[in-house]
Amino acid sequence: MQAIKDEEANAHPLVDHSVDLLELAEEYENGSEAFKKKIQNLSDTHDRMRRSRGDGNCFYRAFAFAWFERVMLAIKSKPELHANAVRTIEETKDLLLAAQFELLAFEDFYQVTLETLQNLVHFTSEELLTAFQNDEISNSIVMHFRLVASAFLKTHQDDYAPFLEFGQTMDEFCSMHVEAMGRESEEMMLIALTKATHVSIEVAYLSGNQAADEVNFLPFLPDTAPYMPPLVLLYRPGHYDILYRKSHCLEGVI
Amino acid sequence: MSSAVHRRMLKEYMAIQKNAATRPHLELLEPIQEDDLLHWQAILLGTADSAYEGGRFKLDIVIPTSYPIQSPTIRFVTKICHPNVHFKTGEICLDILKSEWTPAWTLESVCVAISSLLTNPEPSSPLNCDAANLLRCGDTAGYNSLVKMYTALYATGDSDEE
Repeated sequence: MQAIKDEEANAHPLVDHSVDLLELAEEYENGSEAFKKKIQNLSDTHDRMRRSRGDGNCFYRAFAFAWFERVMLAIKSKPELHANAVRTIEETKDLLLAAQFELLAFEDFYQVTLETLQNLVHFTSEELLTAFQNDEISNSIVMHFRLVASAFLKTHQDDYAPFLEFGQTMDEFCSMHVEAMGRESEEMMLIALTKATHVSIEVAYLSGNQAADEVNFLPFLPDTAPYMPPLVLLYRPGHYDILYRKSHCLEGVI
Repeated sequence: MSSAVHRRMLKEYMAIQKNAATRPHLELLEPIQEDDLLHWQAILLGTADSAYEGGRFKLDIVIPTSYPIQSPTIRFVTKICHPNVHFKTGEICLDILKSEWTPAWTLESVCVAISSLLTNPEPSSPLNCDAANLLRCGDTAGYNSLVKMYTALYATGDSDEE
C-alpha cells in the first residue's frame, strides 16, 4: 500500500508549475454538481492554482513556496517583505532552541531555508521552482517548517495541550504528527505555523457538501497585525495546493 | 554520497568527540572506517548495579542517505538478553527507531536512548519472549540471573562476539 502511494507521489513534481483554475474544473467534469458549482464560484475570485505533491508534506511545502514566491515577486516593489521574512526565519532559530531542539539536529535545515530565502533577491521564478523541486532543498525547508510548528506548540503547551487526545503529551504528539516527515497536518499545525511566522493563511475548503454553493474560507491569523495579504491554500480532504487570488495581482507567476 | 548527509555526519562526529566525557555509558561511537561516514559502530557499557554491569555491548549502525529524515538502522552485534532485542539477529524494538523516529534525533541521543532501554525494558512489545515472560510474571530474580549469565557469557570477553 505504501509502495503504491509512493509511486503515485513520485509521478508528480514536489511543486508544479501553476495552471489555470479551469484545470481544476476539468478534474470534476464527471463529478458532483456540488463540486462544480463551488469551483465555478471560486473562479470568480481566483484564477490559478499550483499543485503540491501529495506526499503528506503538501501543507508545509505549499506554505513555504507560496510565502517565498510572494516575497520574491515583491522584491523590488516591497523589499520590506523580504526583510521581514529573513528576520522571521532568523528568529525561528531561537524558538527551536527554546523548545530544546539540538542545534546540531536542526541547523542544516535552518541554513538551507535561510539561504533559499536570501537567494530570492536574485532568483527568477524558474529558479525558485527548481529549488523547490530539488529533493534536498525542498525537504530541508519542509523539515524546518515542521520543526518550527513543533517548537511553537511545545513552547505554548498551556494553550494547545487541551486539544490533544486523552493521555497524549505534547512531546509525543509533536514527534509523531508534526516532526516526522510525511505526516499530514491538522489545523493545529496551521495555527502554530501562522503564529510562529506571522504569516496569515486563508484555506479554501472544497468539499462535496451539498448544502452550500460557495467554497468556505477559513482564516488562520497571527497574533500580530498581518503585514501582507494572506497566502491562499486550496484544501480538499487530505490535501493542500496553492491558490492565486485575482485581487492580489501577482505578476510573474509561472 | 549525498553531500548533505556527509556534512551532517561529519558534524555529528565532531560533536561526539567533544561530548565524550558527558556520557559515561557510551564507550565509543564512531565510523567503522574513516572514509565511510554511513557505517558506524558504538559500544554501550552496562550500567553499574544492573544485571548488565561489566558488559560491553557493540552496536552496528547503518545510516541511509536520506538521514536524518529517515532513521538509522541499528542492531546489537554482541549477543544480549533483553525483552526488546532479538536474541539471534540483534534487532531492536524501540519506537524512536521505527514509527516515532523524528529528524530531531542525533546518533548520540539515539545511542543514549538505547542505553536507557537496557534498564527500562518494555516487556509488552517483546522480541525476546523468554526474557519478557519472566518480567511479565514478576520473576525479577530469574530475569536478572538470566541477563547476568548471558552478559558474562557474551559481553565480557576481549573479543567481540558476532
